[in-house]
Amino acid sequence: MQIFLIQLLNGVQLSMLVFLLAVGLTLIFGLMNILNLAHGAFFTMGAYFGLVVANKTGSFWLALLIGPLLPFVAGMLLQFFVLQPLAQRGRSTHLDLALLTFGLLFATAGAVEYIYGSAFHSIGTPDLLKGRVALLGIEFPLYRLFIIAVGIAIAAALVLVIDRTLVGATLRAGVDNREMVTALGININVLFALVFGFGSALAGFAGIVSAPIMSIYSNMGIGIVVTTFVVVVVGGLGNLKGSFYAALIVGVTDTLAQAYLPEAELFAIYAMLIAVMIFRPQGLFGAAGRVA
Amino acid sequence: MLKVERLHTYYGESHILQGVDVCVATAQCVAVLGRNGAGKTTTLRSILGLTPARRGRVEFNGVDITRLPTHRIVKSGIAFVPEDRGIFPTVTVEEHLAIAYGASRRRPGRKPVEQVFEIFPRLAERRRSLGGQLSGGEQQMLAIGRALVAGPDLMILDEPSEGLAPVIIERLEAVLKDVKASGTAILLVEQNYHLATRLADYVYVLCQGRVEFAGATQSLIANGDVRRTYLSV
Repeated sequence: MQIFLIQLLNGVQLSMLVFLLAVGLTLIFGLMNILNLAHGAFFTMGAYFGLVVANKTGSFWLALLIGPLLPFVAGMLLQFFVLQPLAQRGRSTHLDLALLTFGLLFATAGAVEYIYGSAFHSIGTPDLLKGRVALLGIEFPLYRLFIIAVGIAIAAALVLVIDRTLVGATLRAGVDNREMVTALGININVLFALVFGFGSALAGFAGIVSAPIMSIYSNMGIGIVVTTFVVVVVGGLGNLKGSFYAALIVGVTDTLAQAYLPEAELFAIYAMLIAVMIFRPQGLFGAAGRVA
Repeated sequence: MLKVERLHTYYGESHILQGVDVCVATAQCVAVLGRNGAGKTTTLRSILGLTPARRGRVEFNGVDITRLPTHRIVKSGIAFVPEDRGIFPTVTVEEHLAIAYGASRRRPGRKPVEQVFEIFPRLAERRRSLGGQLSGGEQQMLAIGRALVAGPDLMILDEPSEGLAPVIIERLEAVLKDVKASGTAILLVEQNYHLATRLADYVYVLCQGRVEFAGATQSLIANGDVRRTYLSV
């Protein structure tokens, strides 16, 4: 029972990490209709930039604060100068853009390996979050609880922003009817670039948050983008709340499969993906929810 | 104020507009009539840059807007009420108006949300409802209210009466007359001949992407041939 609880919490912690990536992927798809496989590259980019900052300053917190800036800027530029002009008026198809971003994912991994080599790096757990806490009769690492708390806090903040603010209303409007938003006098390309940058920054943030418990290495973004993709499809493309629940399902399933059914580990979540694609292609959490 | 000259617009290879000319003067109401597929909606979409014209020129308040992106055309003082009304299903009534209000920051004549609620009290009652929960009539009021927020110089409406009950059409007509009286020009595409001729000062009749008749509303009413040939009324 105790081991099960620990595994469950580990699953939730993985879920929150994947959720941070899923936010960007699902918003970018819902709003811009781009399947951005380069999303994993921003995870890598944030982690390495955070590593540089951490090595220079010795502060995990500064790394967490400054690290996401690079993916934010890179994401905005990629959307505004590359993807947007290509997507304009249907010049490139879904597949074109998916392949382009897929190429970028691997190009980034290659570039990182060229600069930093293929070694594994890590950022140390900050002193404040070292140690374990007693919880429901088990001892659980404080840092993993911190990741869970960060995920929940970001999810709650996003729901507030999207449901209650004018920016959120504009985003919902953009997902509902992009053309009408421009017909209200809003430059949707700027909105798109900002959302793209924000999603990329969150991916980079996830890269740094994961650094004390997972390794930083050149291919780190490739594996996680696949898991994120499963989450986004299971939650319904463009559906933020759906992504949160789907992240929990996928993260917990993946972790429990690793612990109790190691033979199934490699395909448990993909089996789920296929089942969702066959029986509920709009995602488990309905088309009604969408971004709202 | 709006001058459309020899507009040619294509959907892929099909040549939809074949040299359309339309003029709207300040505070004038102009109707574009014609059968389905005559190019009425395409004319509006070309003016707004939603389906850019391949050749021709659109001038608004003396500025060439032909190649501008839609959001800049709208910012120059044109508001649009599309045929499907363009209501966002996941956005509340109040938010619809607030988005339009925020987007028209630089318009001196923009209307605070409460003013729109005075024109359409029904919308005030439903201010927290989502767009997807509104009836057809409420959606049309919201679409028009949202267009009014910007205080536009020109309001473009695509088939505003389509699918509405007669009482609501009466209300719509009264509102559009007020809009015109307040000095806003209107460019209207309508299937409802009687509504269009009651509202418009000037009429264009389109057939297969060409203007087949242009004249004052009275001269269309008097011209039985044009009405029978192009409008079946």
